[in-house]
Amino acid sequence: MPTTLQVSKLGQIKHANVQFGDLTVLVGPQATGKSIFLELLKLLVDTGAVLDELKRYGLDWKQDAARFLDIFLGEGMRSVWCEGKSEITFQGEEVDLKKLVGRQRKNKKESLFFIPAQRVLTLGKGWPRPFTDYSPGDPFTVRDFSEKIRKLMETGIGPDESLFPQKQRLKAEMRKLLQTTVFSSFGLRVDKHGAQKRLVLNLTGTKDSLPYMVWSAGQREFVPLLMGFYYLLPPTKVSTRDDIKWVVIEELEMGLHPKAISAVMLLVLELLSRGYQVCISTHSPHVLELVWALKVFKRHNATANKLLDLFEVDHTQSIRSMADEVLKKDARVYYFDPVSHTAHDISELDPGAENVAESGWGGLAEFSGRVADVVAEVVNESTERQGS
Amino acid sequence: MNFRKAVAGTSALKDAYQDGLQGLRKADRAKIVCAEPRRLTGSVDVDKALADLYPNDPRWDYGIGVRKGSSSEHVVWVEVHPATTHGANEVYKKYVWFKQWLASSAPLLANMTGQYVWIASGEVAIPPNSPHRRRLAAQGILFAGRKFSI
Repeated sequence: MPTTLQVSKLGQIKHANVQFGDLTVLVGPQATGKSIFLELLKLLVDTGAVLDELKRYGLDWKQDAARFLDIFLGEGMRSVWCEGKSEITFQGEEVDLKKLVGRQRKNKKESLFFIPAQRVLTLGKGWPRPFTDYSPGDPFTVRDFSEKIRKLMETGIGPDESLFPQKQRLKAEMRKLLQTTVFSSFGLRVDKHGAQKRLVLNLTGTKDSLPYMVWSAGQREFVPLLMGFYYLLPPTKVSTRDDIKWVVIEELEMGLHPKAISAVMLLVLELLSRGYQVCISTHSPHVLELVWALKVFKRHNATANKLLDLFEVDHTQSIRSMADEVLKKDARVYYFDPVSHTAHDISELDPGAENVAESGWGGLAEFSGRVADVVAEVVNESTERQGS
Repeated sequence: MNFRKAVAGTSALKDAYQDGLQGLRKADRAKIVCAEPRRLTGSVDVDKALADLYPNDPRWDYGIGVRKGSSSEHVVWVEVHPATTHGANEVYKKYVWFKQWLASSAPLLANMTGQYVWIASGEVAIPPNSPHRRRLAAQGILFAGRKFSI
């Protein structure tokens, strides 16, 4: 049964009813409620694990839902919940927020891994910050992600070890693509500055280390994201991580050139092929172009090679198998409309649709379309003037 | 000059004029949306009318006369064509050929204000931000999707 989450009168959202696919994409301008929606999904999927972790770090909301929201979503966020008006329905069942956060849970397994939009803040001085390094008012998803990649770095990666490229991690074609589009002639490794471990970039063939603060903005954004992918794609024959079934990635395009966005989307396809259910929010038309292509390919029974033609990768057997799996997946797209404050299903992304929200891809391609239309008008009028 | 007179004065099209959207193939009429149908004065199936004279040339599909005010009229030149990147190249070739034909063989129509519109004949397989769409826009051709509102 597909997962469904319905909310009413929650923060900026008047009404949203989302049926999740294997890949679900949320689009819409800033402050339309996408993050709240995704954070809520995390809470609903992993209630026991979230409550347990907060308690383990000494955070106490005294069974009070408003206090809980200030801790979980971040300081001041209690205002998103309107008592007696806000409603949540998850998997067809109405959720009582007070009850949800008011009692201990037996099931403390975690099945959703959340990569937050603020991930750049997690590498404070070139090393992931621990959960306790944050203020109690910082969003749980940021602190939790930071702690998870810190543990991964502390336990899974030795000093002086190369973090990128790393033979056991990611497919060779993906490493090659990331090298070209993100790292150029640099490698990423763990270094020690005095007693402090830190991540540095190394120019190939030299011993000079570039610390975090001199990296490009795109590299600073990308490295925590890469750590997230390392977390989800273990370097063993096990294809997925522990009990994780869901992956949420907020604004994966942040700071990245379109070619690097393509490379990251290839990693997203790898997640899908391994059976993760992926949910992303984006402001990038590039991401929707890929989703649209996936839908068209599926409708027309396109081969894996056609999907791989979208990327600058060799069509090896391993990556073709991945693409074969991806072509079986279902993708859904929702537009969080800032005017009606509702979420529209625009999954078909039909550029010929009469509904502007769908043909303009939730505003992401609307400007391009308008530019083309107005340019056509100007050129046509000018040609007419010259002819007359 | 109105559309009817300009068509009548163009030897290759003089018998092709039809009232309203009658000049369009039945399946294509529904692709034109107009809140005030009386503004659509007449239409010609250019492709059909020129088929014998130019069997191997990339012929444009239709012309539709549209009344703007009480007296002035302009022409919407419509091409119904697959919305693919290959289709975009073909529409461009048709546009170039048709502009030349108008200038050389249909001066009365060439002198009327015209708008060039490409309507998708089926599934739209070019994204909204496609460079092909931009290329056509740079020539003055509007891509309308599956329907065009006049």
